[in-house]
Amino acid sequence: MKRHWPIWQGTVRAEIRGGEPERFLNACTEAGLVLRNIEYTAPQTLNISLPAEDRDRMERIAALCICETAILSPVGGSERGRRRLRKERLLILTAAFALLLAISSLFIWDIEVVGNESLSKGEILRALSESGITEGCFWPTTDVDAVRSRMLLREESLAWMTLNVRGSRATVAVLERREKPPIYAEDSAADLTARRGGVIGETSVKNGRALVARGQVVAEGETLVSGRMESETGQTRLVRSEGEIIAETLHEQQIFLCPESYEKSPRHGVHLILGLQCGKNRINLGLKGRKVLDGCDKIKKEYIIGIKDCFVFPLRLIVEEYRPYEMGAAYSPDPTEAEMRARLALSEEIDGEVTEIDFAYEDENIAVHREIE
Amino acid sequence: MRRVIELYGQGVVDLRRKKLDLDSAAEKLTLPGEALGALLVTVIGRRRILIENHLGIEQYSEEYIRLGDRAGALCVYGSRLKIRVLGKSKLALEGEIRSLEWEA
Repeated sequence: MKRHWPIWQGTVRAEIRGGEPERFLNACTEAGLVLRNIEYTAPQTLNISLPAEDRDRMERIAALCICETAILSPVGGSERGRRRLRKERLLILTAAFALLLAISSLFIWDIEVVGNESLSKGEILRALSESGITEGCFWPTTDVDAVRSRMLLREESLAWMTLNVRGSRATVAVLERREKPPIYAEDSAADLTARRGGVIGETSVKNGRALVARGQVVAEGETLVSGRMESETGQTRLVRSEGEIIAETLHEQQIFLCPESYEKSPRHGVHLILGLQCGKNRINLGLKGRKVLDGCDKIKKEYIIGIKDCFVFPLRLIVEEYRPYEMGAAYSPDPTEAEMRARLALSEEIDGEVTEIDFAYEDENIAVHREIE
Repeated sequence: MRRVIELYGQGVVDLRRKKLDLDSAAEKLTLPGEALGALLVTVIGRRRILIENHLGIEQYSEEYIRLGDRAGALCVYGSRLKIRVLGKSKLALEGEIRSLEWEA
C-alpha cells in the first residue's frame, strides 16, 4: 500500500448500506481511500474501517453512491492520542499547580497574631512590617531572631514574641509585658487618699489611722487613712493603710440625641459582589454597575483561600453583600432612650452603686443627667 | 470491459470491446505481464490472496467475490471472505478459499 496507516492516526468503523455497496467500494478506491477490514454482514450491507481523517470524504462518496452510512465506533490511535493528550495536559497542569504551590509556599500570604491582649493586631502587623515581615515576603531568608529583637525594641509592651511559618501562613505569637506589682518596704508608710471629692458615708479601716468621719466633706486627693500610727509610748509606727471608704460623689454625663432620626427598613433583594484580592490589587467579579450600591447596607466578608494551618494562596475571596433599604419617616428622639444611655454610661464609669439620679433637659433634644454615687 | 444487453426477443448478448492480449504482448516485449497491467494474483496458503491490477469489485458477498480484469473477471469462491485491505487496484482477501475462476 502506498499510504501508511499508523495506529495513532485513528480509525472509524462504519456501516455502509445501499443498493450497490460494491460501487461505493470502487468509488472509494478511485478517490484514493484505503479501506480495511471490509466485512459482509448482511445483504447489501458492509462494515468497513478507514482512517478517521477520511471520514468526511467517505460520507460524501457514500452519498454519491446512494448508500447510507452509520458510524459504529470511532476507535483507534486518534482517540487514544486525544485521551493521552488529555492525560498529559492534566499531568502538566497538575505538575504546574504543584510547582506553583511549592513556590507559593515559600512566601508568606497570611499572618496570624495570637497572644495579644492590649496591643491590637494592626499595631503588631505594622511593627512586623517595619521589621521586614509583610504579606508576600520570602520567608526562608528571614532571620526570626533578628525580627524578634527588632520587634521587642520597637514595642516596649512586648515581653516575648516568636514567628512560626507553616506553608505560607505565619503565626506570630506574642507575650505582652505585665506590670510588676509594686514592692514596698515593710517599714514604709502608705496613705489612702480620695480619688474624687464627696461626702463620706461608711468607713471601715483595717490598718492605719482614719482621718475622716461620716458626713465629712473631702476634696480630691485628701488623705483618708494615714499610715503613720502613733502609739501610747510615743513611737510612730509606719504601716500600709488598708480600708474601705464609701462616699457620695457627683458624676455628670451628657447625652446628645439627634433632633430627628430616620428608621431604615430593608427592601427585597440582595446584591452580591464577588472579588479577588491579591495583595493591594482587587479584581471585581460580576459587578454590573455602581448604581446598585446606592441606598444599600454593605456587609463585607473575606475568605482566605488555602488549606487550614498549612497553606494559603495569595488570593482572598471577597464577598460583599449589598442589602437595599428604605428610609422611613422621621421621628423625634425619645427622652427615655437618653436616660437609658445615661444610666449605662454612668454604670460603666463608677464602681459603686447609683443611689440618686437627677435628669435635666436642655433645649428639646439634649438631656443632662446628674447622678450621685 | 464488459457490457450485457438484453435484446428484445433474442436473449442476452454479451458485447465486449476488443480486448488487448496482454500476455502475448508481454511475451513479445519480453516483459512480465503484470508490468503491462495484467492481473497479478498471489495466493498464500488457503486463507489469503493478494490481487493486484484489478479493475474494481463487481460483486462481493461472504462466499463470493468477483473482480474486474482487462481480460474478463476473476471470481474467488470460499466462505467467510473478508477484505483485509482495499486500495487502488490492490486487494488483500482473507477467508477459507475454495477456488479461483477466471471468466472471459
